[in-house]
Amino acid sequence: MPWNKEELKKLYQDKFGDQKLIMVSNRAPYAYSYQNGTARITRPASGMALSLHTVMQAIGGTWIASNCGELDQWDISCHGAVLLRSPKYKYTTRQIYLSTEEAHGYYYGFANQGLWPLCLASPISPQFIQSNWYCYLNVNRKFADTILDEASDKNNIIFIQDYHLALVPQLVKKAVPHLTVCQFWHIPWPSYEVFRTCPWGREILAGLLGNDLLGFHLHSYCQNFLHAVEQTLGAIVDYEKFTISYLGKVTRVTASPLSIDFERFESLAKACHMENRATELRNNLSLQGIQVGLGVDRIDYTKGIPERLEAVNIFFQKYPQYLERFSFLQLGPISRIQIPEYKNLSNIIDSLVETINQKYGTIKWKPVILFKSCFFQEELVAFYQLADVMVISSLNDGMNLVSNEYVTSRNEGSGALLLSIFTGATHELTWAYKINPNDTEEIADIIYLALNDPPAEKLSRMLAMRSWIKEHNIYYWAAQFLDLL
Amino acid sequence: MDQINPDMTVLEVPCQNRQAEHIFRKYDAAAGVCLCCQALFDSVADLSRKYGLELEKLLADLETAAASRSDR
Repeated sequence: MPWNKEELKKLYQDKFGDQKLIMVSNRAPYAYSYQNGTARITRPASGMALSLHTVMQAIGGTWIASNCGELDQWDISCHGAVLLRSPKYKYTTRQIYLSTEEAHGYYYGFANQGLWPLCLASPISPQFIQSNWYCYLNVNRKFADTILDEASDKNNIIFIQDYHLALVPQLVKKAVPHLTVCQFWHIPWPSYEVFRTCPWGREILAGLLGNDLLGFHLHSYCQNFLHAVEQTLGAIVDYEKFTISYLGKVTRVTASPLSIDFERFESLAKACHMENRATELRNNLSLQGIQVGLGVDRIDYTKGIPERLEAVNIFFQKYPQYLERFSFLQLGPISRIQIPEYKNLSNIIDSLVETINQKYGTIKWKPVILFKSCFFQEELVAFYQLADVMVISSLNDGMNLVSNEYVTSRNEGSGALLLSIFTGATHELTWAYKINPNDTEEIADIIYLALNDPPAEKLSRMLAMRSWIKEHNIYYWAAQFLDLL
Repeated sequence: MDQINPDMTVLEVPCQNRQAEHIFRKYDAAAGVCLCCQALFDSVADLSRKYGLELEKLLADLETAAASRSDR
């Protein structure tokens, strides 16, 4: 039987008793605003945040996150540090106020113009600016102080997320050594040769070694990390046990690929209104009798969106029989627009879509349909159900949970997943159609292949992937990780 | 610019003055370790206690480096 909410809760209670779980991330799972004194959700969560939300719903506790410029200081001071506490949520959310300047230097600056391109070995060079680093340090201290305020009197479990908060573990551990601190790094860890270009690499590594347990999606990311600490800090590394001894303390490193709430996606897909919603979408988008390809990504230069659109262009060139018989839907919000590269990318995507639509489109048919917006899970599931092929062409991606969401939403086992060989998910979903995002002609050919493969072949691939995700669901991930503490 | 004080961590001091790292390096031999590898999250006061360094002198060196930086 797959892991479920009750089993995870039991494991936590058996292992940690009444020790509270304190989840810490840059952002809360949802964005809120206040209307008539009540917090209302204004933005849906990312796949990663939703998975963590599922864990918190099972275990309970406190989630510490920043407003990241979205709630103002008045909102936070008026409504108290504990922002959201309702019967719907099994945990409380505690918000940290960051000014626009802090959000700029820490989030847009050091985290997303420095660490993000560094770790994703992106074609965009990382920018390491001193003032951004200082801001990152100060905001990490702010997080650490809030954790200590929330947790220092008891031996709570502090579970930190991602690359925004690399210094927090050591800041917390130094102040209160008896606290149990763990972290999951959701993006790749690059090779030492790449990592050493970061001027504050030593500080980042020493910060992360405050963790008792540090998780990555893949074994290779763990090995890169071990190598980096050995070379940079001279820490003692045991490559067999995956442990690091530094300043008299041991940090264990583990590979544990993140997953999704299989049950939730499956039940959403089976809900009776979902079929109607998918039909409604098909009608509204004039897709009757047309096969559909789908891409779902935040607009980011690591996602390979221009490469994917170029592949669609080649697909129509090579297989003209699909003109007016196939449309490609590209969904996803514009993100980090304060960073010039993201704005440029958004313009490039607009221009590519326009070119393809002008080249092949007719009055009645659009080859590519672009929605640059955020979608709630329920809406995404309807889109997943429309899609005969799903194309994930990331140039580099820690995991990519969209692949899991698509497979789980296809409850009849139809459809085909084209998955970049540079995603973490490709190591798990080995039954997907593999693509190299840099080979756009190959992607075009595999779209054709996936559309034309016998249904039995596609069914067998999808069923194998569904079975894997069902077994290795989000509860399994959390249980495996927390059990190592 | 804030004054460097003994409660600041080794990590924070270069925020006041990037040259501070070179000062810490000068003390590596006396401490017998690489201070910027082993003591980043220690306060300057803890660091001097732990490695038997003269706190007043260390602070003065860090201040001098900071002053020469701000004179430029």
